[in-house]
Amino acid sequence: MKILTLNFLCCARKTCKSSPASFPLHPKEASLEQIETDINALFIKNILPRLDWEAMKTLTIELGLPALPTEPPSPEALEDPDSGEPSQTLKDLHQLLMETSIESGALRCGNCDHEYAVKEGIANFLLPSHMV
Amino acid sequence: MSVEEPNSYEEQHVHSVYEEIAPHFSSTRYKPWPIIESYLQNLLSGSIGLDIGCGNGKYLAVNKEIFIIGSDSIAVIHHLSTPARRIEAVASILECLKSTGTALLYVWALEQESSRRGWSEGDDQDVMVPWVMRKKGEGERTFQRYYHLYRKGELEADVISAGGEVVESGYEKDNWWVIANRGSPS
Repeated sequence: MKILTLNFLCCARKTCKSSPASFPLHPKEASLEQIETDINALFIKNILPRLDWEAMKTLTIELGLPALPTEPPSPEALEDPDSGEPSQTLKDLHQLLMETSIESGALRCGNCDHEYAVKEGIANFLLPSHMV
Repeated sequence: MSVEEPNSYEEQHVHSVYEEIAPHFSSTRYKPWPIIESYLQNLLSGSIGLDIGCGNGKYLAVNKEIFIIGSDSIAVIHHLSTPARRIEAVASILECLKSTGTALLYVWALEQESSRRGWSEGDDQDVMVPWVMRKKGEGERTFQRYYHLYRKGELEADVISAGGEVVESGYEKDNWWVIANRGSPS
């Protein structure tokens, strides 16, 4: 499960929906893998405004990954001003969001403490009926 | 159609069937359908989407300019056994959309005379569809899956009942499809 996915996941329980603590989910005992993929600079540029930067910062700390800057980069910071090539900032973002993946572990809700297991990169969000 | 409690009906006639046939089912699902492929290819770079009922994930990588999160729980619209449950499913999907977002819904059609199964307008809409699996050393086993076959116009009506708006609709390869948005508050 790519780290970018965590930008869009919250606890599945109806009672947690209104609680800010239900996002982001907190990785637990996560084993990570790096899978090299081609950089798509336009894609990164376009999703940047949709990232919850505070949530991303929290995740990098919890996963023991290099810390993110306090503020998200500006669109200009994503390109080398002379060559127009992807900047190191963009490459780092690409590596974090698209190449770093949770292979196994769990995702814990900060509101209700329920843990969703992750196996082979796939999270199980099915809830027993009494928890829905 | 009157059914015993929908949850247990679907558990028996959809969920447990797919538990058994999943690997075989997956091996037959690899080629993207034209309407779905063009819908995905026409999205802007950086679009985020959900594939609800993604199966083996065959649509997740169709357009590398977008990011699709897949979820698979078998509870797709045409496997739900009551009108209320189907409308609720459509409403849940539309709820995921921004005001500018769209959803492509794709369901089995009643009107498919030219298909192998040959259903048509006069037939019952709630049917059991066989799935034949041949396992080495076990011979042939046939499973029956519950489907609600959608009639012309019915999916549009479900979208409206769910509070959404129909952007476009049509028929492709024995399926009715609708592109919907979440509708404006009235």
